[in-house]
Amino acid sequence: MNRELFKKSNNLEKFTFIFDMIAIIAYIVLFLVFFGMLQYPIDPATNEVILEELEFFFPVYEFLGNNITYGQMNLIISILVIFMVVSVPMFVINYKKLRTRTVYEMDSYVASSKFTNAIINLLSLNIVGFVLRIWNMFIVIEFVKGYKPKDFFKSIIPAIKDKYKKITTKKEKIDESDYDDATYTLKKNIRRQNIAYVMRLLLTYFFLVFMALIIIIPFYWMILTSLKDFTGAVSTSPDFFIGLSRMNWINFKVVLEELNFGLYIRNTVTVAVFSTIGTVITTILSAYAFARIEFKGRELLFTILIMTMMIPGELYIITNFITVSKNGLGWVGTDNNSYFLAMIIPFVTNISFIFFLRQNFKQIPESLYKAARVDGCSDFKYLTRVMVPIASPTIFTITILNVFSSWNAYIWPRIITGVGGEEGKQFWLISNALRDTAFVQDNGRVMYNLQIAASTLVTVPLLIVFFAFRKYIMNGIGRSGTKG
Amino acid sequence: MELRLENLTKIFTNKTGTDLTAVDDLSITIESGTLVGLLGPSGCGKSTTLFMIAGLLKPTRGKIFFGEDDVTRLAPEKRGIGLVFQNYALYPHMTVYKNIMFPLENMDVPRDEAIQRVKDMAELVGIGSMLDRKPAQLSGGQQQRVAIARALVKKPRVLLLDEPLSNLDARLRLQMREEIKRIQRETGITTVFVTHDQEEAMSISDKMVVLDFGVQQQYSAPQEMYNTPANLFVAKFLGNPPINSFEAEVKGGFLMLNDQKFMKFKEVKDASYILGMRPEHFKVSEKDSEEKIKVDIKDIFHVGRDTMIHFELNGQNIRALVDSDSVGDKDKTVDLTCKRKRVYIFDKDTGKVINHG
Repeated sequence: MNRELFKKSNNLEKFTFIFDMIAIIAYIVLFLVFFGMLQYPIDPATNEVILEELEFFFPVYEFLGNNITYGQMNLIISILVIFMVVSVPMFVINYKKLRTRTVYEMDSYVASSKFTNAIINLLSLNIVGFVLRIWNMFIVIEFVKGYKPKDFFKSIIPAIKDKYKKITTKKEKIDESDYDDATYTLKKNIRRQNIAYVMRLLLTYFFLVFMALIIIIPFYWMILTSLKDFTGAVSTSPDFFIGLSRMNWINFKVVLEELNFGLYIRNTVTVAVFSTIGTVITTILSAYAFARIEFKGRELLFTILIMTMMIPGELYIITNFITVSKNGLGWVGTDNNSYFLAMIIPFVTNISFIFFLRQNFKQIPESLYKAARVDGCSDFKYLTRVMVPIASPTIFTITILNVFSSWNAYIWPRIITGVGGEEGKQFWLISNALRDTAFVQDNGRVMYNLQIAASTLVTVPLLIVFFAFRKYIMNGIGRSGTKG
Repeated sequence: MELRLENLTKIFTNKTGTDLTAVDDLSITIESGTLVGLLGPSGCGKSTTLFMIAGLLKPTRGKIFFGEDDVTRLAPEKRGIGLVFQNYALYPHMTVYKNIMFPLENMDVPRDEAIQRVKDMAELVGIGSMLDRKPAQLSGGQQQRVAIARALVKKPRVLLLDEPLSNLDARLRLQMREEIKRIQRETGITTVFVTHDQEEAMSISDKMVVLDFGVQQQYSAPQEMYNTPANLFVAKFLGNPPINSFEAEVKGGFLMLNDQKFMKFKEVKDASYILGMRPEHFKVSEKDSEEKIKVDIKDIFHVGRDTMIHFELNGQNIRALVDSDSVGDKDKTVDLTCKRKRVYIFDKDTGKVINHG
C-alpha cells in the first residue's frame, strides 16, 4: 500500500476543488447576468407589466456584441441552471468523501467515480476539472492495481477478452444426471432460494420506485408548469416535457419583481432570522434553568409551561392580537405601525423546544457541572463553553425546525398584515402572498404559470434545506414528537 | 498543606422531612503530603465528606481547615483543590489539551506559562503524545490520566479522588494504583482518596479512615488497622477472606471454644463476647503446645500455597488458611492455634475491642 500515492491523490482532489468552486461561481454569476437581462412587456402609461402580452413578447437581447434571440436566451439559462443543479451537490458530496475516506477505502470504485465526475466536469464545461480528475483517476488506478497509465490501456483489451470468455463458457449446459440425490436437492434448493431472492429484490425496488414517483411527480409538475407559458399551462393536453429553449424563465422574473415576491421573501427571511435567534436564545437559557439551576417552584413552573402545550395555538391568537394591537402595545392598527415586531415577538419562545432541549441538557452528567465548578467556571460560562457545544446537534435541529415553521407561518402574519390594508401589503410574508396576490390578467384570467412559479420559489429553498440537513430534521421530529 | 476536619456533620433533609445523617461529627487531621484513603461500604458518607472538602456541599455543622485557613464558607474554586471524579467528567467535545487547559483559563494564568504547565502535566501523567485527541478516542486508563492532569494543573493545595479506579478493569486498576501513588509522591500533594475497595485502599494509602453510617470507626495506617482493629466493624470490613466472628465465653479467665479451654486471658472478665479470628492467623499447633484446640475437619480445599479448612467453633462455620504441608487430605481432626495478640475480643453490645495485653 503506497500511502504517498493516497496523499498525492487527496492533494490533487483538493486542488481540483478550487476549479470546481470557480466553475460554480461562474455559473452563478452568468446566471445572474443573463437572468438580469430578461425583459418583460411594460405598459408605458402605468409602468406596470402587461400580463396578457407576456407569452407573445420575444425581445432580442445583446450580449458582448452578439444578438441572442428569446429562445437562445432561455436555452442558455436552462443550461446554466442544470450545471448548477449538477455541480453543487457533486462538489458537496466529493468534499464530504474527501474528509472521511481512509486509505483502506480506496478501491477501483473510487477510480470509476473519479472518471464519472470527470465526464460530468467535461459536460459542464469545466475543462481543468476534467483533466485533473482524469489524472487523479490514473493515480488511483496505480494505487489500487499498480498499473501505470500505459499498462492500464494495454490491460483493457485482455480484460475484455477474459470477460467474454467467461461469459461464453458459462453457457455450457452441465449434465445434471451425474449428481446424486443429495447434491441434486441442494442445487435445486439453492436455485429456488436465488429466484426468491431476486423476485423479492425486484418487488422491493419496484415498490420503492413507485412510491418515489408518487412523491417526485408533483414536484416535477410544479417546476415544469412554472416554466411553461400561459397557453401551455392551461392547455387541456399538457406536455409532459418541454424543450430547454421553451422554458420561460421570465415567469420567475415577473413574479420576483413585478409581483413583489422579492420583497415578500426578504420579509420572510427577516422574520425567520430574528424569531429564530430569539427562540434559540430563550430556549437555551430557560432549558438550562429548568435542567440545572435549583430554585423554588421549578417543577411547578415547568409543569405549568408544559401544560400550555395542550392548548391549541390558535386559541392564543385573539389574546396575542389584543396584546399587540391598539389597546395593547400598539404595534399594529395605530399610526405608528411596527409589523415586524408584531410578527416576531410572539414567536421568540417555544415550549416544546424548551422541553426538548431540557431533556437533552439533563442527559449531560452532573459531574461535568461539579468539575466545572471546581475549575472556577461560572454558570454562564459553563453553559456556553460546555453545555451548548455538547448539545449543539439538538440546538441545530431546533434552529432548522424553527426556520421551517416561520417560513410556513400563515394565520398570524395574515391577521397582522391584514390590519394594515395597503400599507400592510408591504409586510406580507410569502405564505400570505401566495394566497392573496392577484395573478390575474386584466381580462380576468388567472395566470396559473406565474402562481406556480411563485410556489416553486417558496418551496425550493425549503427542499434544499431539507436535503442538506435531513439528518437533524428527522432527529428532531423523531424525538420531540409531531408538532402542529 | 495540612487538612483538618473539625466536628464535620452533614444532614440531608428529604421531602418528607426526615433527616438523614450522612456524616456524623467527623474530626480528622491529615498531615501534609500524605495520601489518605476514605474507606467504607457504599452509602457510608465518604463521597459526601469528599464533596464537603471540595466545597460542592455545605456542611451542616463543623469546620474545614486547610493549614491555618478556615475554608468552610469558601467557594470551591477559591479553595485550591483538584477533584477527580468516578466517571472522570472530561468535557467530551474538547481535546485532551483543551480539557487540561480549561481550569487555567479561569485563573488568569499568562498564556505561555499555561501552555507550558499543560505540557509538563501531560508528561507527568504520561499522555504527552495524545494532546490533540478527544476523550472518546482514549482508553479508560488514559482518560483517568487526563482527569488527574486536569486536577493537578492548577497546582492545588489538596487533591481529591472520588473512586477513581472503579471504572477500570482489574489489571489496569493495579497499574493506575501505582501510577497515582507515583504522581502523589512526585508532587508531594496532600491527597484524599475515596474507595469502597479495601485492598485498593490498603495498598495505596499512607493512612486510612474507615467510616460507617457517617461515623468514623478508626483512623490509622493500613497495616496497623488490619492488625489491631478498633472494633468489630473494622475487623469485618478489612481482610479477604473475611474474618471469622462468633460468640464465645470466657470462664475463669479461660476462653472456651467447643467446650475446650483455649487460652488464658487474665485481664478479661468472665462473660460472653464476640470473638474475631482471621483465617490466615490460624496455625497447626506443635504437639507440646498448651494453647490449642482440636477441631473436626468438615472440608478441605487446596488453594495452591495454602489450604483452606472448614470446621465448626461454637456452632459457627469457621474458615482457616493453613500451610498446605501441615494438613493431610485424610485427616479427620487437626489441632489449631493462633497467636495471642491476633485473637480479637469484642464487646457484645458496643462492638469495641477489649484490650487483653
